[in-house]
Amino acid sequence: MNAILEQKGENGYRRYLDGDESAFSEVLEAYFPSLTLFVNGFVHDVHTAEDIAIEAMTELVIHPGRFGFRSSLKTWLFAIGRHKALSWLRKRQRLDFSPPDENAADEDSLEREVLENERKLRLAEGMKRLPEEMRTAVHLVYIEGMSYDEAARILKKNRKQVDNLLSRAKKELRSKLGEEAKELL
Amino acid sequence: MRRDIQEIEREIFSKRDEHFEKQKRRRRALGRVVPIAGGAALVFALSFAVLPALRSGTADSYRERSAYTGGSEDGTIRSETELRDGNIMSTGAPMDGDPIGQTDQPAVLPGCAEETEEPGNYSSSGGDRPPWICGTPGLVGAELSIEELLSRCDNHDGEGESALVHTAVAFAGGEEVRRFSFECEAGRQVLELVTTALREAALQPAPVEPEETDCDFVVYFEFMDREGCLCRSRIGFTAEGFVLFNNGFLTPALPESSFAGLRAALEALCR
Repeated sequence: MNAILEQKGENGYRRYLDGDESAFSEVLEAYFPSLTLFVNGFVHDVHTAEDIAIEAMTELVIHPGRFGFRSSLKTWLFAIGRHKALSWLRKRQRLDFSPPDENAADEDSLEREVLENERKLRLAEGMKRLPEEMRTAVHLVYIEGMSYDEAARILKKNRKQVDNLLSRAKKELRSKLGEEAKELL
Repeated sequence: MRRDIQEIEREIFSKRDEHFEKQKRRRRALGRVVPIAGGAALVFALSFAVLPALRSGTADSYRERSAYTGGSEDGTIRSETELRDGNIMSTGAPMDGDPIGQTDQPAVLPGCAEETEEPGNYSSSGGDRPPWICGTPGLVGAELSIEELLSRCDNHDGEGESALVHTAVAFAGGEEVRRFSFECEAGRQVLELVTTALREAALQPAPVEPEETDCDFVVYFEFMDREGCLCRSRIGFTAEGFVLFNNGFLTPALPESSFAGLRAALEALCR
């Protein structure tokens, strides 16, 4: 997601808080697809990921005072999304799986919508083989373009730990993807 | 098929409306009594009488600490996970299993450890663990009734039947949940503040089943008797002043001034 879209999302949320309900669609357009893709990395089911992303975005409208614009809205939403995804994984209450083919098509369309270039698509494919923490760190920094500090905030780690995670992730990717990993990271 | 943005927006707004409708129903069910004079008296008491008295008594409370648990008396911070179920666990492992150490936590007052939690977990019921608080109820024994909690506060003389072994306070607001834990008798100041507020408002159990409820702050107490049995109480305060005690609501709601006074006093203790 580029900075302009993010800015548009934050401005939309400010306008929503000022009483302009229609501005919320700008927030959704700015963050919903990338948040869904991020959550999908945990739950591996696009429809569940959408439900969780909806829950995360609902926090914005039922607790309007909680986001204080002290950090980026994206970081805040991704932290909520991660938390909700992990809670969902712990509970595993939902069992309404769609047929695999349908899910695969939806996942593919989501990836193409969010990952605007071929390099990111290939990276996303390679990342799927990484352990969860490494994959999340790579997603936040290399796919979403977040800073180490922002990623650390979402992962509840410090900067150094994120740095270590990314180093290990690069090693893993190199061993799995070979020379291609160098182009991707 | 993936949903389009308009459909998602409608769903989010319908969840929002449903949430606010539930809130209204809860308010109607519980009622709201605002005895302004009582609230003002509580704020006065907290500001000018209770807090200074408690602060002067801090040294005594440290000496009383760990009467049953054998903990340190020098005010050093113990990991809250040590007390969580009586076992010594690796320090600072957060609830979601992330292996983060506590070394990067900010410095806090002796006997009071702070940690933060990611946003989004503001619910006071449901989930696979209690909100924000660090006890594991399944492992720590019975829940105290409100009368028992109040009497434990009244009857404490340092040599009583039970000792306060663990206190935790968690605040929502902003982008993070802030959690503080107090070892042993260091948490007595929190206990006194909370029981004073509950007593002032003459709260009683309400015949209302709590649904998914958002709390503004939550307080948790764990006591141990001479036989080593643990019992606990957890008290959630919603932003509207409603009080959840263990798994039920209390009624009436705290007056706004009492609620604000209590929150401010607790924040001052945790600062």
